[in-house]
Amino acid sequence: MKCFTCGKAELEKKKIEYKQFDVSFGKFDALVCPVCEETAFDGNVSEQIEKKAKELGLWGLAAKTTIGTSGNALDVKIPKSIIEFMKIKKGQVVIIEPIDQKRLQVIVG
Amino acid sequence: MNLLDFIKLISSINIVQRLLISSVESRALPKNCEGGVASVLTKRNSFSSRTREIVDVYAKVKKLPTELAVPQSETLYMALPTERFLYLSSYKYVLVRMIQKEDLIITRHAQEKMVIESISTEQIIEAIQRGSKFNQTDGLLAVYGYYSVAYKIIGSTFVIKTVFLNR
Repeated sequence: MKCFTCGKAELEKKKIEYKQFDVSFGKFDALVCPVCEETAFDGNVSEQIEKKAKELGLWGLAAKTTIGTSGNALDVKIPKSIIEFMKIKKGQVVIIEPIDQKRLQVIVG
Repeated sequence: MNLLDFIKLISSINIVQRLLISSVESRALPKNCEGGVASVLTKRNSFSSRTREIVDVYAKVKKLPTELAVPQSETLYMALPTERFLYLSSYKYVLVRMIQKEDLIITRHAQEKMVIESISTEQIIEAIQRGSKFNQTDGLLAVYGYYSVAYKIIGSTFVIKTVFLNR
């Protein structure tokens, strides 16, 4: 099968390390384009990644949260799954900075 | 030739004729439809040994590899009423090949989004099969429930470009 992004080369089967949130999920079979390095996974491999993510407790970290008020300032409630993943505690000092008008970055020291 | 053999011959000719007609009719059907072969079905999504026999004959007539035409499992093929395709036919149902996990190719970006937003491969298949489709510049967008799937079809494979939650 030709690469669906660049269309210049045939996709090659390779075993690659899948990393997300700086955590290694292990090595999985993937289709890699030698020209543009686009990586894709088969449906069955995707299921294996899904299982591994659930084992590691990284499945579905995205969550909706509402902004509350604390005096004159605003506060953001962080869900438990993210707290456990980032290992943050109450009273811990963090740095917050906007990336753009829609994204806010929290750096845990 | 005795009477029983004659009846068998007549019935087999009838089946082949019907299958040939259906192969012509199937041109008007979507690509993943096996037109006419499900005409013997009485219930939606049900398969009998009789259906399997007919599908087997159909595979031989159309010179298809059996694994393509003969349902391996009940979930591989789904029977849909022909009215759904606004298609006037003597056949009540058409067999539609269900999308399997093997048919999917998921890009790295889509895989990462799936892990973050907890959208599984089964949900992607469900969105492609049941969701509302919108044409995009290069591919399709299937909106189903609280999530959407952006994909494109290359031959018999579905390349999943991205998935996202509808906010």
